[in-house]
Amino acid sequence: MKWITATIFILGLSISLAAQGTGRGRPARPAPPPDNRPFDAHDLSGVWYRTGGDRGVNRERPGTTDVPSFTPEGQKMFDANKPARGRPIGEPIGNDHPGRVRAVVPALSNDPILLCNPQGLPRLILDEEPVEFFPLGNQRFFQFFQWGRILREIWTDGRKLPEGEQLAQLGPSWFGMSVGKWDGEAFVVDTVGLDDRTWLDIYGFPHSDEMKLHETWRRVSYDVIEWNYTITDPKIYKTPFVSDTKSFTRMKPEDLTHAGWYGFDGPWEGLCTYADEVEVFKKTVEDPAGVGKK
Amino acid sequence: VKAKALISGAIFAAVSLCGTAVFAHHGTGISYDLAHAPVTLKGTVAEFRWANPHVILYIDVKDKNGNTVRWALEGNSIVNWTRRGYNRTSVKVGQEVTAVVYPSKVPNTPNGVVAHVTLPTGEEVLRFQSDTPGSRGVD
Repeated sequence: MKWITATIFILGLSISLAAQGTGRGRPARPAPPPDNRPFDAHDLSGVWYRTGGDRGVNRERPGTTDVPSFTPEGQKMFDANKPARGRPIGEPIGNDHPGRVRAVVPALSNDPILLCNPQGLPRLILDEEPVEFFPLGNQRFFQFFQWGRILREIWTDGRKLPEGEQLAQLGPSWFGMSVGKWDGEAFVVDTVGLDDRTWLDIYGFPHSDEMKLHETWRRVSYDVIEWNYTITDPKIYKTPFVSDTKSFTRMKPEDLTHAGWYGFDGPWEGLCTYADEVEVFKKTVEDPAGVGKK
Repeated sequence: VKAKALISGAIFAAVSLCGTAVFAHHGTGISYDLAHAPVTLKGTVAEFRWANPHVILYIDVKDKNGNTVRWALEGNSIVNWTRRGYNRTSVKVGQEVTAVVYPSKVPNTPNGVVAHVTLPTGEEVLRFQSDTPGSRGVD
């Protein structure tokens, strides 16, 4: 019986994955039917995976306010970023934002993750791999990301974010510093001190190290959390960059154990390492496949 | 047993339809010619490198002049291939294999992305891309 259950699960998930299309504005994985069991809005613990919202900051549609205007410095940074994701550069832009029609071969891309640098925020959260949430009393709230096996800590002990001279002395870091608190039924997280070498998303939208990330996490049903965020970065964007609503669905306990289907199993180690990715893959596959042997 | 075999086939067919929807490090279509029919390579496995986020299969293939050319082929991630039932011993060094691959867009470059790999018995031991050109996007 267990075998049949597992089979049905695999089939369902496989078809869901196959239905995702080609990546042009591809949504996250389809959500399962709603679970109407009662829930505690203040309990975000569990393992969650993306099921709704775009893969970019928002849908980044042209002719809308989705993408705020760049400052001159922002435009310069945007132009300097050469993503390997999206439609190839040179194709008709059509109804896409120019930021989504400028992909180059990975060998020519300067996407920091191709050299296994950290994704930073919010890009890491936009990744499609699961994330586990677990609060540690009223001290900290942890997010453990499968991709990169990265543990993000959000301070919930009432401390303030560094600012001014203190922040300047600390300097930027790949994931900055985050504090969180409950505001009604929303878990509100603010982050500063993010290194400007990371990109906001796979399409290469830039940010400065003065960027502020303001997130709200809301559990809206037993098995769904909604995530919204706003990026305020006047050095790069003339107005705040506001996300669409991303949703996360709770993984069922059995999904975590079925052959490690989406689990955090050690042997799989979702890591990008210099020894494998840069020294071997990039040199023997990625670069020659993209530009030929030099 | 028959029902089990049928369901197994259905699983495999369904899984084969999947792209690299998860755990994708970067797009593949932009480096490889996925718009045209894949090419078939017959060769010997030189190395099967089981690593995240990209597994690599190296095979030695005789070219038309009889020279041995080592092809480096991009595979899926460990995570995705494990989900499909493959592992680090699915292909072994020294095995004769037939690899159906989408080649690099750069002419005369011995690189490609795996569509599927079979043994001389016809057993398919790896599957990544669809056999149908143009069925995957660039991302």
